[in-house]
Order: sequence, then structure tokens, then C-alpha cells
Amino acid sequence: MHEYTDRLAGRLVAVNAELEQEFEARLVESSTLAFRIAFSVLRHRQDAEEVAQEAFVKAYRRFSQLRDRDRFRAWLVRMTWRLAIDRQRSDRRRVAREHDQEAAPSPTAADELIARERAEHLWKAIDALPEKLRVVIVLANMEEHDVADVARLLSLPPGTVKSRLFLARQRLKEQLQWTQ
Amino acid sequence: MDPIDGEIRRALAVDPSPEFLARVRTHIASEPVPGRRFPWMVVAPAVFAMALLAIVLIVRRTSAPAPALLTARFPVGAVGTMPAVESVYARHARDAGTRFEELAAPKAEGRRREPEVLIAADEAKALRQLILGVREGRIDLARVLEATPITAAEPAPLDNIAIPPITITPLAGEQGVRQ
Repeated sequence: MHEYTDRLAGRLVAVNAELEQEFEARLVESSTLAFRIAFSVLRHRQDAEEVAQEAFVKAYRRFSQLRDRDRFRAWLVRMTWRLAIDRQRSDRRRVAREHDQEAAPSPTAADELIARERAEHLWKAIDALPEKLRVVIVLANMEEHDVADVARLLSLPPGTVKSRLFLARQRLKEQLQWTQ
Repeated sequence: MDPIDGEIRRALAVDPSPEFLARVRTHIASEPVPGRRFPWMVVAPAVFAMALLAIVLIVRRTSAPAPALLTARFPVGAVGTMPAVESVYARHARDAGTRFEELAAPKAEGRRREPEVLIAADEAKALRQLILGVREGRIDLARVLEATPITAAEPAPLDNIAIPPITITPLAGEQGVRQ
């Protein structure tokens, strides 16, 4: 009996170690993705990191069901997006600030000003999109995702993703006249 | 590439801070290991086995024979005072007792499907004692039956019915006269 329990305990320790190694690999490869998704909603680095961290902790608790890579990333994307939206709704004051602080640094003050202005207009236009169009256009412009990747991440048919991308681009162009 | 997409990519080209991964790892280190399901692997089969055992016990208990009645515990043959020849009343009482036992302790299958026959406890006890008494010869029902003899009711004698003779009196006045 003791021998059996010892063997069982040894096997469980090995399984735990294996799970932790797998999760570490997922964490490294998906941390930027989760952060950027949260950032696209919150536009605040610290908030985005907190939301991404929360999503990873939730993913860790359920990792035995999320060992498949595609499944893990799809779950992480949806969870991060949902947590970020919840955070945004619970703290509207943050949305009003920091729109342009995270834009890429520009070499000169004039360039920086223009970039900030562009980013501000862009984010306003993205924020004005319906949520289902917003998540598609954001994911499509992240980590070289193509239509199939976005469809897999959101569990949507590729045709639906294509049509939503088209609609999102059209609406953004209508609002962002300066890109024409 | 669509210019809109280019703008969005530039806006999203933000990386987390270098401490981000370290913070996530630290936070996760304080979490319980997700694969640590040892208690459930042991507890779940144990709970299942106990539930199965309980079900088996309940089923066996409901299908077990009913507890022996008083009459069964005291067989008639063991009583020394029993008369050598069984009286008619004793036979009737025995048959009645058998029927009573069938009523009081129906078969297990029937009991499960049909509603239980309810008999007052004191009445059942008295009836059992009466039956036992008759079987053992302690109670003689002959005297009871003699005290209230069953006699056929005879109709009371009837007087002859007197029917007076029918007399027809003629009508007064002339008959057959047209006016």
C-alpha cells in the first residue's frame, strides 16, 4: 500500500513539474500578446500589465484544461479582453487620460506631437467601434495574425472575421480623414 | 497593407516592462499548483465506493424478508396443551391467522409496489393473542358461539285473510229511459 502511494505521489510530482514547465513556455510566448490586448483597451501600461497578470493567474488555475497551445491562446485572448473591458468600465477616469503617453518615442518634439495627435485620433476611432469589430481589428494587427489566426483565437468562422475586418476598416477610414 | 492597419500596428507596438514576467511568476508562485489533484484522485473514488455501498445496503434492506411474527416464533407444535384433534374453530382461527399474517406482512415485492395496509397496533396485538389462544387451546370459542346461537328467523304465523263477498246493488230509478 505504501509503495503504491509513494509511486502515486512520485508520479503526481512529475506531472506537476511537467505542467509547470508547459505553463512557463506558454507564459513566455504569450505574455506580450496578453499585454497588448489589455493595452489596446486600457492604453495604460501599468493597468494593462495588471490585467494581463490577472489573466495569467486565472489561466494557471485552469491550466490542466488549457494545455493545448491554440486553446490556451484563445482562452487567454478572450479572458484578457474581458478583464480589460471590465477594468475600463469600472474605472472610466483612466480612459480619459494617458491616451498618448505610450506612443512610440519620436526623435523630435514636432514628430512626437504629430504622432501623439495621430495616436489619439486613432484610439478614439477604435474606441468608437462596436466591441466585436474592435477586437477583430486589434487582433489582426498583432503578432502578424492572419484571418485564420484571428478566427481561431475568437472561435469564429473565417468569413465572419473577414467581414468584420472590412467593416472595421471602413468605419475607421470614415472617421480618420487624415489617413486618406 | 492598409494604411489603417499600419497605424494600428504602430500604436500597438508597445511591450510590457522587463519586470512584467517576473511579477507574473512571483504571483503564480503563491498559487496552488494546478496539477495538484492528489486529494481528489483519492477522495473521489472513496466517495463513489461509499455511495455504492450505501445504495447496495439500502436495496438489500428493502428486499429482506419481514421480521418474524410472534406466531412464527412460537410454533403450534411446541405447545404441550394443544388438543390432539384440531377443532373446527381452531382451523378457522388458523386460516384467519394466516390471512392476517399475509395482510400484516405482505411480500416484499408487493410491499414496494402497493400501499401498505395499515392496521391499528392494539387491534393487531389483540387479534394475534386471540388466534394464539385458540391455537393453544387456552381460548374456547365454542362457548362464545353457544351464547349467541345463530338461529334462522322464522316468519310469524299469518291469519287467514277474510275477503267479504262482492255484492252489486241495483241502481235506484228506471233504467234505459232516454230523456
